[in-house]
Amino acid sequence: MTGVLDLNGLTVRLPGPDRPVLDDVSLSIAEGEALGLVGESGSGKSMTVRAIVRLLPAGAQVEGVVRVGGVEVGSLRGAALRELRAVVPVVFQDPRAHINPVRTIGDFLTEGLRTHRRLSRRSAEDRAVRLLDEVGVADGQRRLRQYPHELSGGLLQRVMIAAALLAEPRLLLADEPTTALDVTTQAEVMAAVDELRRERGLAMLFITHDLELAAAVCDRTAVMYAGRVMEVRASASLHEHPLHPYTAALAAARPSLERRADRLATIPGRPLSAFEAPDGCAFADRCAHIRERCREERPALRPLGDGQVACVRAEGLQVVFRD
Amino acid sequence: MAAYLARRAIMLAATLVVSSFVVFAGLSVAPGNPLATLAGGRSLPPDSVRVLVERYHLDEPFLVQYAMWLGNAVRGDLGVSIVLRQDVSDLIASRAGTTIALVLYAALIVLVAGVAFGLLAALRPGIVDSLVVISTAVVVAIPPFVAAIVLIGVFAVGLRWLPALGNGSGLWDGIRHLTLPAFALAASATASVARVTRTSVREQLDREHVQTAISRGIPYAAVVRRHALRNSAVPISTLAGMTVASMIALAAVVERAFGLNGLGAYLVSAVLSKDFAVVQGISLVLVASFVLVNTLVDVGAAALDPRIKLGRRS
Amino acid sequence: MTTTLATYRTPRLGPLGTAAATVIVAAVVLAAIGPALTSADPNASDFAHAYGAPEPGHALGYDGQGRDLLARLLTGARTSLLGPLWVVALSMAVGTVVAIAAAWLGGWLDSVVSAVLEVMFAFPGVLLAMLVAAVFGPGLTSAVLALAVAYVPYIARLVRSAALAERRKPYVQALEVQGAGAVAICVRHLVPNLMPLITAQATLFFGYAMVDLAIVSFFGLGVQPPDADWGVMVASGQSGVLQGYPAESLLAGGSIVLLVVAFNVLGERLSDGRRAPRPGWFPRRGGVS
Repeated sequence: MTGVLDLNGLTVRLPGPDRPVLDDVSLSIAEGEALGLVGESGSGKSMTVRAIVRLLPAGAQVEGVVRVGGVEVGSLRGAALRELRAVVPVVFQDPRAHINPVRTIGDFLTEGLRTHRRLSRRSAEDRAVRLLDEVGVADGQRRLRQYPHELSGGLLQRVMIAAALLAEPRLLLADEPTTALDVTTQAEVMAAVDELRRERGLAMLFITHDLELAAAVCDRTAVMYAGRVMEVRASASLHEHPLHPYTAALAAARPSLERRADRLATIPGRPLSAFEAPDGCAFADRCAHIRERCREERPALRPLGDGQVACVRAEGLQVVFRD
Repeated sequence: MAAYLARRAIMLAATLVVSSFVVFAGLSVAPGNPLATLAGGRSLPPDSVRVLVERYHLDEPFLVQYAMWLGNAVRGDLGVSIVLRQDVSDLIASRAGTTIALVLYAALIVLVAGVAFGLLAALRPGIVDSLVVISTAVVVAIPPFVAAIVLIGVFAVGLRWLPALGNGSGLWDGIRHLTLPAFALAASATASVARVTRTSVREQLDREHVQTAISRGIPYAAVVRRHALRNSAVPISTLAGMTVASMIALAAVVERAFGLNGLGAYLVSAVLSKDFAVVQGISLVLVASFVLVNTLVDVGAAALDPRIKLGRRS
Repeated sequence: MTTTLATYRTPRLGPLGTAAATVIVAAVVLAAIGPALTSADPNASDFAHAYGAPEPGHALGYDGQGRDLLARLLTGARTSLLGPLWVVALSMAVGTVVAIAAAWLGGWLDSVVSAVLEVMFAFPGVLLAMLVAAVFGPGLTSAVLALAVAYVPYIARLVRSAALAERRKPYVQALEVQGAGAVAICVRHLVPNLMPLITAQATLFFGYAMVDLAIVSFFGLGVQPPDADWGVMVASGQSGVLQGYPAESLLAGGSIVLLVVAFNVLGERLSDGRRAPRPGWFPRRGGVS
C-alpha cells in the first residue's frame, strides 16, 4: 500500500567523507498521519526533509526511493519537480532567515499561488488573508503590506505556516518549526499547527529534537541517530516504553516535572554524525547495554511489538526500561 | 520617511551653501587682486573694469560679495565669460546637453552591462565566472583616458566603425559620436558593478530565503529575479549611483579625449584660458549635481531596503 | 600590555600579492635608476625620427616629436610615482591626526570635524584640482595639494571610526587609569595599533592618486610639458593614436594600469576588509564593510 510518503532505503552521501549522512532510512506516512522524527543535531533529520523535496547540497548522491503520493521523486525534472515542491510545503526552523526580508508578507504568501495557480493578485491575497486569520494572525490586510522585520518571530512563523497551507497540500514537512521561538510562543504556534493539521486531515512529517513534543502531536514517532532510524513506534508507547537504549536515554535525559532528580541524566559521549559512526551499531560507543556483537554487526530495523526497532537486545532490555 | 527626507534636504542645502562658498572664495584667495583674477591677467579697458566691479560688487565687503554672487547664481546669473563675452549661464546651457547625454549613456551601459556580466558570473561558476572575474579585475583599473585611447585606437582608427572626434549632428549621428566616449567613461564602473553584482547575487543565492523559494517550486529564473537580484538591488544601485556621480567630474576626461563640447571639457579650457567666471559657474553646477546625485542614491537605497531604518542604518 | 603587540600580524600576501609587490618594487627601482639605463635625453626632440620605430639604442622608438620613448617613460615614472606619494603622505598624515584628535577629544571638536568632512566629500578630487589650478595656476604642486585635501575626508572617516573602537578597548582605559598622558597613549599605542589599517589604505589610495594625478596632467593642468609624466604622455600621444602610432599613449597608459592593478591587489591583501570608498565616488556609505 502506498502512503502519502514512502522512504525506502534512502541513503545520501555528501561530497567529502566516505560515509553517508543518511543511511538506509525507510519510513512511511499514511494519509492524514503525523510522524515525528526525533534526534539530536546532526542525526540527519533535516537532511531527510531536504531529500524529500530534493533540496540537497550540490554533489549529493542519493540512493533508495522517495515516493510522495506514489510518485517517485528521484526521477522528476524541471516543471514536474516544481509541481511536486509546490504541493509539499516545508515549514522551516528560522522564519526570519527563510522569508525574504525585502519583500512584503503579501508577496511571500501569494508567490506560490500566483506562480502555480496563476491566480490574480487580488484573489491570491483574499485567500491569504483568510488563511492568516485561520492561523491566528488578525488584521491580515494590513499584515500583507508589512515587511518581515516588522513582525515578531511567532507571527512570522504563523505566516510561514499559512503560506504552507495555502498550497492545499496533503503532506506537510515541518523542520523544527518552533525551535527558534520563545517558549511561550512555541506552545501557541505548535497548538495552531496541530489543530489546523487535524482539521484538514493533513499528513505531516514533524522534525524535532524533543521526544515529548513529538509524542504530543504525532501519531507515530521515529528516532534517528547518526543518519539511521533506531526505532519507530506509536508515539505513546515509544515515549512510555522505549525499546531502543538510545530512545530510553533520550527520554531519561529530559528532566521530568513529576520526578525530582538530584542531577540531570545525560547520555555519555557526544552525538555522532552518520559519517563518524562505527561499523556496528552507531550508538554502540555510548550505549550502557553494549555487547560484543553490537560492534560486529549492524542491527537491522526489525518489527517488534507495535513498531520497529534496530537493536539486537531489544527484547531483553524491554524489561529493564519498564522500571 | 518625511523626517528623513527633511533631514537629507537640510544636509543637502548646507553642503551646497558651503561648497558654493568654497567655489566663490577661490576668487579672493588667488594671488593678486580679484579684479586681476577675474580678468585672467588680461589688461581690460576701464569700461570693462567698471562692469566687473559692479557685477561682482568688488567695492563691497567680502561676505556681501558672496551673498550677492550666490543670490545671482540661484537666479541663474553666473556672470560673464571674459573670453567669449557671453553669459556663463548661456554657455553652460549650450554645453550641458552633451554632458548629460554622455553621463546617461554611460550610466545605461554601467547598469545593463555591469548587472549582466555580474549575473552571468554568479550563475555560471567555472570558466565563465573566472573569465569575468579576471577581465573585470583588469578593466576596473583602467582610467577613462586610457580606455578612451584604446577605444579610439581600435574602433575608430583600426576598425573604422565609429567616429573618434566631435559631437556629430542630428540624433543618430550624435549617438554614434557619443558611443565610444560613453564606453570609455563606463568601462571601469561597469567592471566594478559587475563584481559587486556577482558577489551579492552569489551571497543571496546561498541564503535560506532562496532555499524557501526553491522549495516552493518557484522556477529558478524567477527565484534569481525576484529574490537574489531584487535583494542585491541595494548594493548594486548604490554602487551604480556612486559611479554615475563620479562620472559628473570624470566626463571632462572623455570630453577632452574625444573633442566633445561638454561642460567638463569647457571647464578645462576655461581653467587653461583663465576664464574665472566660467570656472566658478561650471564648478558650482558640477558640485551641485554631484551632491544631488549622491543624495538621491542615499534616499533611493533607503526606499529599496525596507530594513534601513530611516535616519539610521541597520 | 600584550594587546598592543598582539594586534600586529604579518599579512599573507599570497602569490598574487607577491606579484603585485614585485611590480611595485620593480617600478620604484626603474624610476630610481632609470635614466642610467639609457643614454637618450628624454627632452631632446628630432623631428626626423617622429613616430620612429624601435632601433638599437632606442628600444621603444620615438614619440611624435622624435623624442626617445624609453627615456621619457623612465623619467616619467619619477613624477608619476612621486606625485601620488606626496598625495598619500599628506592626506594620510592630516587625515590620521584629525581623526585621532576628533575621536579622542570627542565633544564639539568631533562634531565640527564630522561636519567639515561631510562638506569636503562634496568635492571630487579631480574637480577640486581644476578649481585650485584656476586659482593658483596649473602645476604638479597645485594638483598634489588639491588631491591631498580631497582625500582627507575619506581617510579621516575610516580612521576616526577605527580610533573610536580602539579607544574603548580595555588596554587604553587601563593606560588612562594609570595616568598616562593622552598624547603618549595616542602616539605610543593608538597609532601603532591603527598602523596596519593606515598602511592598507595608503596602498589603495596610492593607486587612486596615480589615476587622479594622471587625469589632471592629461588635462594639461598638472605636470607641465615638456616634462615627462605618464598622464602627459597619454595626452600627447593621442594625436599619434589617430595617425596609427599608438605606442606613446599605450606605453604610458599601460604603465599606469599595471601599477594601479598592483596597488589595488596589494592594498586588498593588506587590508582586513575595512576599506575607505574610492575618492570622488561617494561620500557616506561603504566605509567599513
